Amino acid sequence: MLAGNNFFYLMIGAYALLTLVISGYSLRKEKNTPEDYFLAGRRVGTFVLFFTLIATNFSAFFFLGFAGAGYRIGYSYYGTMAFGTAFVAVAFYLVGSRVWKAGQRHGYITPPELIGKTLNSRSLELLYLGVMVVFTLPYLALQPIGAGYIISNLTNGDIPYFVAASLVTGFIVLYVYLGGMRTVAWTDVLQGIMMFTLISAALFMVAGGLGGLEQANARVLELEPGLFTARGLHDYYTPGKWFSYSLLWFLSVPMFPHIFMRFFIPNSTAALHRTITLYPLVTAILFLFPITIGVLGHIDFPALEGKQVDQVLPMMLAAYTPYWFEALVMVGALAAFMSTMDSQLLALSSMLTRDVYQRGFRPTASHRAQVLTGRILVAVLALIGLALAWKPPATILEIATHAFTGLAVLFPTTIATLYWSSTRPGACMASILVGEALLLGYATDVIPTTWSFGFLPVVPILAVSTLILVIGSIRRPLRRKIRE
Amino acid sequence: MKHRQQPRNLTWSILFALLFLLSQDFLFWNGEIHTGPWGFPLRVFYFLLLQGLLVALLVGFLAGRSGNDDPGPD
Repeated sequence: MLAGNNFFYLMIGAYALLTLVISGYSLRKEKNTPEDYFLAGRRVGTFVLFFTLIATNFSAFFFLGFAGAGYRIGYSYYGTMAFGTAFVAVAFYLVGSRVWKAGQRHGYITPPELIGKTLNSRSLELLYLGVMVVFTLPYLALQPIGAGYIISNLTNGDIPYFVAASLVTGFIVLYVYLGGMRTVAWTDVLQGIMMFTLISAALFMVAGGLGGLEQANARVLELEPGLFTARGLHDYYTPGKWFSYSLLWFLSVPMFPHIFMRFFIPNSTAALHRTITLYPLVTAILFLFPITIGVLGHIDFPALEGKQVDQVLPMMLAAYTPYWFEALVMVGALAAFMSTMDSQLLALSSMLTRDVYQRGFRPTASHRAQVLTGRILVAVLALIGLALAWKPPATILEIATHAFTGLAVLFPTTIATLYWSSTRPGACMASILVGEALLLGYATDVIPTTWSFGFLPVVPILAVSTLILVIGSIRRPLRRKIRE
Repeated sequence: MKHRQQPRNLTWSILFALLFLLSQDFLFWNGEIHTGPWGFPLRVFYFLLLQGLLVALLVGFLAGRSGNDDPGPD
């Protein structure tokens, strides 16, 4: 195992070195302005935009969670997850095209800035900011937690969990601090390519070890036919649940601040549109691989339960691939953690710099001062994430599980701001506050789950918050010119 | 120009909504298990097809919309 550990350290070292080389390369182009540090000067082309969008969106859940869900639910998970995520491309167009234009026209850098200034409401801007921070910060804390566990497991505890989490976080801070969005986007290219190639190779090697994909699938069909049905194993899906998940990705993914901010960075609408068109191709092909490995896990590990299920990918790799390959895939998973965390850090830091520090305390802050504040905040936020990872409080994990619904509540406000000239800021605030209050009600069981009518809570919550926004704006229409 | 754009947008909206509806899989919800190439359930190929259709729709919808890089008037 010592030789194996050495190989893992070598892989990690090589990956870190490559990341630093990319950071150094992107640093050469840097100018000391907030637009350059937070948005790579709005000059990102199709190739980098495509990879940064997918690497940011697909965290390590893509490696470990998808395989676990494939094991737990079966191939029906591919239907909701792959098509549901692919359809997000339509939401990317609806939100992204208008956000890009507004950013070019008015120089907006953060999502709350766009919403607040378009509707001329500082209170709405702060509320929008608050929701984004509350639901992104716990999600950010999950990244060092996951990275810490991966390294600790692979080295058999030679590197303890929290030391590993600290090392990964420190490294991320280093390259985000130095290069901002340009470095993050370029390292995402490396991380995205690693994700693609490693998970594809993993499926071929596992299937080869099982005597071929057709034979392996036939064996699983005999063992657990439920894995091949529409409802999934043990009737996991109901039509209401299926619909809710399809809707949840569509409404929430563009509202994650680290995704939203990517709509500001393309160098042209053509780059944005090409990326949107390519996006469903990735989900169509790539999502099938980890889910299939998870399904095939029933052949060798038929009785996994609880947290063990999310370990099915490393277990299958250990069973059917050499140690060096398992280590390589886990470095890929680590890359996925890092590509999400670096973007979250930068997005949160840019919002706190622009919407709190600059707008609230120092309106005359120079570009240099804003960039310096952004850099300091990257380090501070990383420390907060690490502190939460030390002994993760239950509430943090609870909030993280509700992050998708919590952020989806911002979707009606965002669409109305971008498309509807009668939108009133007061109606938006009421829509957001009531939406979040309902989510709290469902999460704490104050509102019984029967009141979601067979759907996940996101469906009734979004119906109510949209209704409030529409009625509030129609009752007292505010004519304004949409600032595209 | 704007008047011609609106019915076209409506057509595209209906097409995207139809695709979303097809993804709800209600047609085969209680269907029997059929497997296809490599032993995958046919349902997997159905969703591959839907995602291919989505790409085709996006290509058609976005064609001609990418040329305008001017952020436009305030």
